This record gives sequence, C-alpha cells and structure tokens, in this order.
Amino acid sequence: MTPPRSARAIVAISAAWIAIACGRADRPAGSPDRFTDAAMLAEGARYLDDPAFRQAAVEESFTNPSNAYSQLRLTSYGLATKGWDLLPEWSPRSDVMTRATAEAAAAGAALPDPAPIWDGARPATMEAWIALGREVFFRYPLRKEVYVAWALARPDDAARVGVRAADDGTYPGVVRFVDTRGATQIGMTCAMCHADVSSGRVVVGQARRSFDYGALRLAYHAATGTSAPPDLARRMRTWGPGRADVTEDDDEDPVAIPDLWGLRHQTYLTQAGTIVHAGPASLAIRQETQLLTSNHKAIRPPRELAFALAMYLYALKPPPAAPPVDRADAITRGKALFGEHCAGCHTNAALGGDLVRAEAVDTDRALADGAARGTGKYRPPALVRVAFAAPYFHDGSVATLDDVLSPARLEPSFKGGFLGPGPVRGHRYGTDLAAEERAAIVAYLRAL
Amino acid sequence: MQRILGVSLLFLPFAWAVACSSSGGDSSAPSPTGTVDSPGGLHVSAALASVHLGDEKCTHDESADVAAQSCAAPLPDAGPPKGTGLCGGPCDFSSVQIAFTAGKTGTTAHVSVLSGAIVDASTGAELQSLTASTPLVWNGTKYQPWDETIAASSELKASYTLSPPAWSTFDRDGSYERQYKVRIVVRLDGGAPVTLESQAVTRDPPVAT
Repeated sequence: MTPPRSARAIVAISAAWIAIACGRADRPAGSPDRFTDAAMLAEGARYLDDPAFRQAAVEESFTNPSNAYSQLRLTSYGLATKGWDLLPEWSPRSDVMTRATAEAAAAGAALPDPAPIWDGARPATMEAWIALGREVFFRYPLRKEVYVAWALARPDDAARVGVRAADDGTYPGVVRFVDTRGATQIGMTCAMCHADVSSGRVVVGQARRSFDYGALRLAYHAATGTSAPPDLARRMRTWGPGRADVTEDDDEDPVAIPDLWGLRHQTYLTQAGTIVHAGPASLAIRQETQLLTSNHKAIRPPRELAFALAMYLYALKPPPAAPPVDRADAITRGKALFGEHCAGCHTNAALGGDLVRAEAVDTDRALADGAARGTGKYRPPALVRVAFAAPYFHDGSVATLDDVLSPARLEPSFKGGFLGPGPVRGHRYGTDLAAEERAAIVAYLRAL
Repeated sequence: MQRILGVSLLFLPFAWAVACSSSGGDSSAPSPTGTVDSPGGLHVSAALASVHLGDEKCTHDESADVAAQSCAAPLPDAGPPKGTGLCGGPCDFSSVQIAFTAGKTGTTAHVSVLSGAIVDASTGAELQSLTASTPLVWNGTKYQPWDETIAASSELKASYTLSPPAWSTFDRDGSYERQYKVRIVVRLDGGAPVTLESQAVTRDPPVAT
C-alpha cells in the first residue's frame, strides 16, 4: 500500500527538518561543490570552530556505523564535554632525519632540539594551509618507532626494507621528535608509507611499495634477541613489501599501501570504503583521529594541523606519466573500450568510483567483511598513474596490469600472482574480452 | 490533511530528541564521567578521556626508562635489550587519560586511583584487576610527573600507566576485535570512591592507523 502523497511529503519534510536540526551538512555527500577551494576553506572554519558541526560530520562519515573503526569514533569523537575532546592538544617539535643527523646520533654527538612544526597561527590562505599540511605530512609523528631507530644505524639493512634516504639526504617519514613526555625519540610519519624515494627523488603521494614493515620488525627481533608474539610474527611474515595489516580485528587482511592522488574525487576513503568522503571535514576527521589513535590516544593533534594535512593531500599532484610505450591508436581504442566495459564502476574524474558489493567483486573478502573496518563492499580505486601502482587489488595480489585483465589469472595453474602461485580470484571484469581488446585497455591504462 | 500535519508537528520534537540523542542509557550505569567530592568541600568532575590497551608483557618501569636514557640515538650494538621495552619499545604500555575539572571552592585535595579493572564489554564481567601508576599531568606541552593534588578552579589533564592486561589468561587468542571496557575507581582525599567506566574499546592493532 502506498502512503498518500501528502503523508510522504510530510515524512520527507520531517526527515529534512531532523537533519537540519541535528546540524547535518546541508549539501549532498561527496558533492563536487564541497571541494572547491572556497568551499573547503568555509567548511574548514566550521570544522575548526563549531563542535556541533564536527559531531554531525563524524556521524555522516561512516559507511557501516557498526564496525569497530566507526564505533570507536562515534563514541569518542566530537563530544565536547567528554571523550577525545578532553585530551590535551599536542603540537610537537620534530625534525626530519637526515643521513647527517643519523650518523651524528650514532656517533653520540649532541643534536639541536627539534623545531616546532607549527607556530600556532591559523593559516589565512589555501596556500598557507597546504604549506602547513606538508609539514604535518613529513613531521607529525605517528608514534615513536624503535624499529626504525634501530634500522637507521644499519643503512643497508634499512634500505632493504624501504627505509632509505633521498638524494637530498633526508629520510622521508623518519623524524627525531620530542615526545609527549619530553624525551627525544625517533618516530614515523605519514611520509613513511605515502612518499616513495624513486631514483633518489621523493615522490609525495606515491605508495612506498618497497617498505616492508613486517620484515623490519622481524629483523629487529632477530637482531636483538627479543621476540614478537608468535601469531603476530607469523602474520608479519606474510605481509611483504608495501603491505601491512592495520585493522582492529583478527582477520588476515593486509592491504597494499594506496597512492594518494585524486583524493578529492573519491566519494569513499580506504579500500573498503570505511569512510564516506562527504566533504573535506571527513578527511580532516580521518587525519585527526589517525594522529590521535596512532599516538596511543594520549593526545590529540591541533585541528588546524589535521585540516592542513587534508588540504595538502587534496593538493598532491601525480608525477608526469611515463613516456607512451603503446601506439596512439591502441590507446584511443582502449579508452573507448574502457568507457564501454569499465566506466560503469570507475566513474569519477580520478577513475575511482562508488562502492561495489564484495560478492560482486569477489576478490579476497576478509577486509570487506572484517569486524574492524568492513562495509561488505570495496571501492574501485583511482587509476591515476596506475601504471606505477603495481601490485594491484586492495591486497596487492596481482602483479601486472596485464594480469588484472587476463583470464589466465583465474586458473589453478596460474603462477604469476604477487603473493605466490595459484589462481588470483575476483574482479573478472574484462577477462572475457578478446586478447586484442584487453591489450588496448591496458595500453590506455598505461597512458593515464 | 490538517490532521496529518498536526500529528506530524507534534511528532517533530520527539523525533528530534530521538534522532539527535547520542547514547542515552541508564543514568545509574557506570559512565566515563562522574563527580568526586573531597571532605574539604572540593567538587571535581572526572572524565575518562581515553583508554589505550597495549601489550601484555611490559615488565619494566616505563617512567624510569624514559628518564634514564634518551632514545635520540639509534640503538647501539650493545647486545640484546635487558627485558622488554628498551628505549620505549617494542613494549606498548596500556594507559588511561582522565580530565579533572575542579569547582571554585574547597581546599586542595589529593586524587587517588584506588583500583582499576578490565571488563568484558558485553557482559560486564571483570576479567582482571589493573593498577594505575606513574601519574602524569599535561603542562601545556608535555606530560610531567604529578603529585596528584588538585586545587579549586583547576583543570587538569592526567595520564596513568596501567598494568599490562594479561591477554593470554582471559583471551586465548589475544583477540584484537574483542570489546573491553576499563573501570577506574577514584577518590579525593578520604571522600567517597567513584567508579568511572570507559566506552567499549579494543586492543590497539600492531599497526594503528
């Protein structure tokens, strides 16, 4: 039975009234007009100064409010008089480590006090926000890192697990900082995973696919005669370079570190789409709570730093595309085929898209179904510079772009999987196309 | 139509209350917040701001370790660490952060954490008693040692190290997804004890992001 039109109208009006009364954002989630510079600065002001807005923003930020990640934030964040809002605000002093400072420290030399990341003045322009965000990205410690500290004294071993200095002498992602108790420590920042060192240059936003955090920790334990809990040690051995299990559950669901380009076009954040990317406040809250939880929930970062970090991430530009290796006509044909066969899911300007049910994608489901961050769905990744982004899929299980579309990957005899021999299931899309068509699509993807 | 509209308008305030309420619940149930009174007339609001659940085998005195050695330099090749937690890691201590807000009157009082416990979040069953040690207070830039005194009109953000939960004794799998709560009993001087109970939390994963 269909309710009378007038009743339906009243229900709709009531719902809208409730949403407005509760302080919910009044523009649609993920609407592009929330990501213009002016709109982001306006939303930033509300995020910084309006507790009711923050609470409303966090409440609209989760695809599955029941998973552990969402629940923790819904019960702890944005509550003004209780929870995480009562934690002290920590604006650290922190310097990026360099070869020189690492060598001096190893030699027992005194080093100058690390400098403050922020002078406490709120930026007034987008450029200033982005500049501050860069400092946060490279210098705000996620935690003290005894494993990285240990590795710095062994540069060759460190390089083998992806902890390496750039040509300018800096170790991106490694800092020397004054911790929350006043002791000087070695720490890790966002740049450890999300800035690569390629041919000596720092490529910000590119996943550091050589970083093998599990191997680093195991090497530390082996060298120092200490041990990790046996189950954790077993799990860390399976991570491999560019992957780690970061979820608050017991599933085996290590994920590949993602690139960060094209973020403002994504309607969801994280591979399982845990976070609804409704607006810039969604990313700022993601960063604020990440800096808080990774520092053992003892402090919270100044919100200005979280918002600045979000602005920096939105501003990241990918490196130039590789010189074309395919014929122009193949790329053109591949683009047309992509539009025909792939663009139904890879819909947005970064060629990512809205969530797809995990059973439809049919890749490994542990992350999508996990108690920690699961949504029952996966997010089509952005395809910006996808040629540089191997291995593919959320778990890094596919070694090459050709394999993504190859039907051979689905066969038991397949031996080319990034995680070992055997079939790599899921994302069958395109595997039924003719070889020439698949090659054309790959040519197009390589040109992105 | 008028009747439908009238009913809907009556319904709106109720809908607002329901839709906008966060947790609600039984007011007598343990809560993250409470009021602690001292015999000297000081009223203090106490709130559990956060709980961090760390590793099981942290065997050394963290405060002594931090004070005794700088971790500025990479670890020397001086053999294996003595016990767990050399240079602050790989041992990850549990902790609880409590915000205290004192009223405007009353004499300075001493805060005591009388006891603590980790409980199953779904059943409320106590799994293990915990001790809180190493009281620290935020001084604007860092946590510093604290004598646990609190004066009228003061607002303090404190942190205590919790004794390590023995995960292996009450959770064979050392689960990272099982939900716990932490109970802390605080008192001001010889006043009545007050129990604070955290929201449900999990152990922090090995790589928190």
